[in-house]
Amino acid sequence: MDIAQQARQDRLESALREAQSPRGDGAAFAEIVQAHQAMVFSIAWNFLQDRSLAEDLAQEVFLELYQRLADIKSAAHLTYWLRRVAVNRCIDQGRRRKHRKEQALDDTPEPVHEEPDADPLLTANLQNSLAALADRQRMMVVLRYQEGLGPAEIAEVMKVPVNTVKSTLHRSLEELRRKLSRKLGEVRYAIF
Amino acid sequence: MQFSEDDLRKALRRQDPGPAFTQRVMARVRQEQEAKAAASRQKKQRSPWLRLTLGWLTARPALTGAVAALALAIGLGLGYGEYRHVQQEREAQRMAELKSGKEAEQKVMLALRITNVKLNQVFKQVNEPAAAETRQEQKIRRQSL
Repeated sequence: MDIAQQARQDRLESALREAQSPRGDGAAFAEIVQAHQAMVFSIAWNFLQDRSLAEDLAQEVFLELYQRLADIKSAAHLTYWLRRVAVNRCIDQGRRRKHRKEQALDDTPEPVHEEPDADPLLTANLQNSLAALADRQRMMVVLRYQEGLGPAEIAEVMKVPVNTVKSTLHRSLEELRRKLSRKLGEVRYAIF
Repeated sequence: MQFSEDDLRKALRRQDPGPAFTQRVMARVRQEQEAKAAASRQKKQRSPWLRLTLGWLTARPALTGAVAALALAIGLGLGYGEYRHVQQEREAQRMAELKSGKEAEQKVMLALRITNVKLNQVFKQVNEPAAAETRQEQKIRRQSL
């Protein structure tokens, strides 16, 4: 852990203590939200592919955090807790919705700065192919590549054996490659 | 189309929903706080006796359960008694209606019998003089022959 990360962690610890104290104001909780909103929102967004649903879900997660703030032991526990609750809520939501992809124009996020080496076509195709994966597979890929978690950490968050995570991730990547190759075939067919 | 794990990381990188999201979460938190405060105010406004009783019962869950079970048993017993009473009243009313129906039937039968007897008498009275007249006419015809 470098110095900047350590400082961030310390700040979060003190914000957590302040938010938990009976005289704690909303500012400390707002700081906690700000520090984790990208993580919670992106888990929901990458899983559901629906901005308004992802926002609602992320709000619900933070509201639940506010109600159970007293149970949180440390900043690390807070991150783990938020990740686990977001994952569980996403999977529940996926079960209810069976992934209908809809997005209002107003809900479309403002264009963000893309890294120069990101291929927009490949990114779009990857996201589309990911949306076609089964719920558990999709969530494991999100946790692996968005959150950078290892198989053991994913297994702990999703309460499944490590070997299941490893085999599911392997299968998911194979499936993604197959889907993308098929898409490329379609593009070739359209061109020639 | 091939992709590397790095492409996947880029496609799935975190996106910040923006400061408006934080404001919306904090607005919901404030709503929650206000709802909690309102509930606690309501709790304080309860009468001291009620608060004392509720507090006493909350502190003794086993006793509260027993009291609730007893109240439920008494309620069920009273309910069953009331149900039986209503059933008995309905049965008595039905029997009374049946009895009065039978009496009415007997009266109608009696009236019909009386009418029958009277009609027979009238029929006899109407037919008898005609028969006497016919016999007299036959006697006169025989004499004239």
